[in-house]
Amino acid sequence: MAGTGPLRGIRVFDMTVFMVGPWASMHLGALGADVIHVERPLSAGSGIPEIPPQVNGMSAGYIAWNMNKRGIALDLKSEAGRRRAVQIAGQCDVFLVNMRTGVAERLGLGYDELKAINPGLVYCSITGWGRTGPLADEPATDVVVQAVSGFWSAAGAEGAAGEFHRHYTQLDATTGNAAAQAVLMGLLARRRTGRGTRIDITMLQSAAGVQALPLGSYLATGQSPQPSGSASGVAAPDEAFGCRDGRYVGVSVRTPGQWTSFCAALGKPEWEADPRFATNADRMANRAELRALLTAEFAAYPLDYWLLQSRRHRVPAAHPRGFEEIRRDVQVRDNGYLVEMETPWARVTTGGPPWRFSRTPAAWHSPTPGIGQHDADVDTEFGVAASDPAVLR
Amino acid sequence: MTAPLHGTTVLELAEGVAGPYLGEQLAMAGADVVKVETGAGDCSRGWVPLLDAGLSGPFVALNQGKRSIRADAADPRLIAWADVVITDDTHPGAGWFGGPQGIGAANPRVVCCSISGYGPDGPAGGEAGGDLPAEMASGASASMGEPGGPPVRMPDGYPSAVAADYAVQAVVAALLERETSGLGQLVDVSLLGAMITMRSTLWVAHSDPDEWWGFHLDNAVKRPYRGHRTASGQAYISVGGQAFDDGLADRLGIPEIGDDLRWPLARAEGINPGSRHTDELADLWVEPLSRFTVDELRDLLAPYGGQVQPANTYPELVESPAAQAVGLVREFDQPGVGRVRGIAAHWEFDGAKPPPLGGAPLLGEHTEQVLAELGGPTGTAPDEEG
Repeated sequence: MAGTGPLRGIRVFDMTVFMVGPWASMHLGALGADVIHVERPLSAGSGIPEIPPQVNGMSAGYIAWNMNKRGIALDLKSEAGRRRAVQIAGQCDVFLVNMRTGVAERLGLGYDELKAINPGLVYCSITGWGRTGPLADEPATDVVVQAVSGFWSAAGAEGAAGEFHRHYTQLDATTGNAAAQAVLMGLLARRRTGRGTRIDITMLQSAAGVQALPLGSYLATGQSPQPSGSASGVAAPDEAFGCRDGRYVGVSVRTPGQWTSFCAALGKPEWEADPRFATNADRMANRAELRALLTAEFAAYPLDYWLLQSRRHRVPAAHPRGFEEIRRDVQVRDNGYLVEMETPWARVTTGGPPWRFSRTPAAWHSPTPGIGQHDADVDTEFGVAASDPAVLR
Repeated sequence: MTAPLHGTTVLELAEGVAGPYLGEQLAMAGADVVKVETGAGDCSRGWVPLLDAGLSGPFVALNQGKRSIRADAADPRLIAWADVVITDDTHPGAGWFGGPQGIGAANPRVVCCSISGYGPDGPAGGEAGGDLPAEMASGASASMGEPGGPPVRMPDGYPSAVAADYAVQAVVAALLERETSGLGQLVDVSLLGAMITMRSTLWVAHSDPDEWWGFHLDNAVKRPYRGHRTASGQAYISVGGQAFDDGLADRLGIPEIGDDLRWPLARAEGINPGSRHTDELADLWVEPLSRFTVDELRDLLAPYGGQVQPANTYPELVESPAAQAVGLVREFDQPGVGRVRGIAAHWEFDGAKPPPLGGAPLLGEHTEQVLAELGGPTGTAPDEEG
């Protein structure tokens, strides 16, 4: 069940809901850990299947966020359910939780309680805004964290107000990625010191981290980026241009060598040493002038010409693509960036592993489990007595 | 807890955003990171905006806590020294030591992380990548800007930062496995692959073409969402439609809203940025909401379970109580500049963030120091010896 990745032998108790926590544990599962994901039983009112959009009656989100795990159903409102949780978690290496602050403690599943029975535990708690502070009790969703973290303020049409990234799961996933990083670090430290650790992750700090370039630059210089369409705030030319056929090509020139290549691709080698454009600082200072020249150049040929020229001269370039084009892309297929999984609800396409390991391959190896699908297996393995199945499940 | 990567040595043969941000995160976790620069150094030293002293803000942001050596040729002792090597597709040293394969052969314990634009295989394997191309090629551009209009970029460097986050996972997982096997390995991360994984929710939902609508899904056909204008700036605002029946319409000063032809829809949807009807209902709320500040709206909507959060600019974020509560900003000493602000680490271990880092290095600042640790300058450049 746990695959061949570098985390083989690690067991994760995944008491997380919605996206942020499940995203973290899904990646730990792909890396080879045995992840036991907990959901509230359908009989106890799990609302997970209803989160839109759905695929054959199950939330697409639940399906997308819970690959590479085993699933158990556990009612934490019952005493028997809590006993069962403690018994399983007490034998795991990692405990993940993203409930509201204080809930895990009230359930007897706080760090101090679990550490007492499992001192090597790596315990990771994920919140939106931290366990204390003015927003500690505020709900945190991706779109709200985009607002507060400034994520939107640096993006948008030139001169317009900032705009949100409309695929509302980027900062959820970013936070889950940060949690997975920290769990891996906690496991490495435990391996070296023999001691477990308590980890705290917040969506807000994770959102800041993924803005390392624009927010970090602002903090260092005091100059705040403004919405500027497709143009980068740090280098030029690094933006999209309209081609002769009305399509757009995005080019990204960030190194001195790429500027040389770019001039060659345009057939304008004389621009390379033109004092207006010789260095990146020159090009940023004279960007309006450069943009006017380039707009005319790109308008002279269709997209395919520019893609070929860019490839020939090793200039980073691409065009905006939709799902059907990406689905059929040989580059995506050859690198395994999309995978197909036969889930209990449908055969689905989803993003594959973002890393490749040469010696201990990680993979999307197991389809999302049904709620409670692995109850019996897990109870047997962890020595949980099947005392009252009606209460437990 | 001791810093988790204390004692781990990292050689960074990378430039720009992704490789350096990977190296910086490893430094935050306690690793000893040596950055190798050739010629005029990392390309980001030439980016803007600048600090007063003329240093590049992007370079300072992405290279804190590292040492820099200037080397124009491969020194095999660096590979023997390193636990981790970071490579990318534009650093002039990308092919040194025979590339990742040669590095792994020279030091079987090394974890060599290679970051590329499009992944190691396929027809674009080895082609140079970038942030805007990765956003476009992965489909993320469909979630920005006007549908069919000119592309709009995400916050700068986003695909690189995501790839760096994934590369941190890969490197630490390989180091953990090495504790058992004694062996390193090669790990690959690409901007394209990282961005496609980040859109997994959309991919799964698209598996059923009859169920294509949803707040994760319809972004490709929706107009940009810019929040609502309030008397104190743009804000994210949501509240269920029942609130308008329960007195909110009066409190917002729009008792006549029931006369609008869209009222049945508005009552069903409320103010809901995730609704498929956001666009057609938007102007119902524009003027009424603009009369109140964010704080006033928060108080108005709270009894109805509504949510109001300011859409902060970076200066507003830094000053916000939310940022202060998580310790979002930290300070460090930047040589030649003084105290400079940076982003704190996004992990807390046993209730504390990792200790602060030093500043970003000057070009070649630590060349002599590192060479001395390796046993002296002789043999640093085999071609110079010969």
